[in-house]
Amino acid sequence: MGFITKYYILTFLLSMSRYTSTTKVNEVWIIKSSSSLEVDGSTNINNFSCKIHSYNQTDTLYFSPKDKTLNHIKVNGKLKINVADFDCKHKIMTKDLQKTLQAQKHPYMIVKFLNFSNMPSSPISNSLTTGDVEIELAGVKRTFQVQYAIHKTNHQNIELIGTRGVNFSDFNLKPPSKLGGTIKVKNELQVEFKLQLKKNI
Amino acid sequence: MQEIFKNTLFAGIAIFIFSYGGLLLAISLFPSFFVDYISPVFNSDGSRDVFFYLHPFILSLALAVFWNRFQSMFRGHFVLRGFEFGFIYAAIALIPVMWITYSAVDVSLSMVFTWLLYGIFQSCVAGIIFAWRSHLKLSH
Repeated sequence: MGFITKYYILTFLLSMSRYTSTTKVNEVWIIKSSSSLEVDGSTNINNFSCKIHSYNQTDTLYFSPKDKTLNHIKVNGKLKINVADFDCKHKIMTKDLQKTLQAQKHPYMIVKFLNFSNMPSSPISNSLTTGDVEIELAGVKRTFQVQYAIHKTNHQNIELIGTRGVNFSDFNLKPPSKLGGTIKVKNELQVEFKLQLKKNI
Repeated sequence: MQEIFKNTLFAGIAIFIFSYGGLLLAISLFPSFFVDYISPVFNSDGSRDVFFYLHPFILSLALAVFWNRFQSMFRGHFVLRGFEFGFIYAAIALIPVMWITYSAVDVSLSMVFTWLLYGIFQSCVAGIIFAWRSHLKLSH
């Protein structure tokens, strides 16, 4: 085992112990690199769907035991999404979305998971659950409640599909309007993230 | 001078109605063609919309000056004079401008071609208005 590998394992264990020493962790789930994100919207001339096909990195979600008074499970973990990875299947629209989202100035969209109403490993298979997420886009942070559908692929792997409607204006962004407003992108967007989770034993 | 301003006003109003009416009609009939306009090349934030809607009057002023200087060269029925005027403007101004636009800006050939047609349409509308007004003046 090389020095660098040992260093990363040690750093990971130290960060785990630091987190678990202050917060009791009930479950740990790895967000797999195959997770994806889709943003659907419309204009007065077409519909568009911009997708991050693959997260291309892994992250970790730490679930605390259920808080009986607040009736939710505190979660620690986030997705750091590169805005430049959005693909609208139309080169020009992709460029325009990245300009609208100020990708040059704010290259990352950060989805921070705050809490869940149920554990992902809850015995109810293919169940629905809710949770709060903080989305940071174009330098603006907003908290939303998201509905999740949990699909268990097997005991160790689940797919968590979260959907939520957001507006460009929630992030102080102006939807694009072209040719004197004759072509307009609508303010409403539908965000869907598909998290491929693997339980960390 | 007064004649130039009157021509500017009449042609400006006509181009405004026909151009933006035509644009809205084209967007509703061929929406997929306009998807390419959702591009960072085009202003997005609405800050220049007033310039966009003033364009018919700026164009009409330029064409009215041109008409005032060279109207004696156009002969025949006023509709034909209007068309001839429109096509001459396209030949001397639009084609070179569209050529340089296509060579320098990241826009498609079909988009530039429609701008050329749009420009010819606008200058023909202006030409017909100028020739019609000139015809009315002569008949009185």
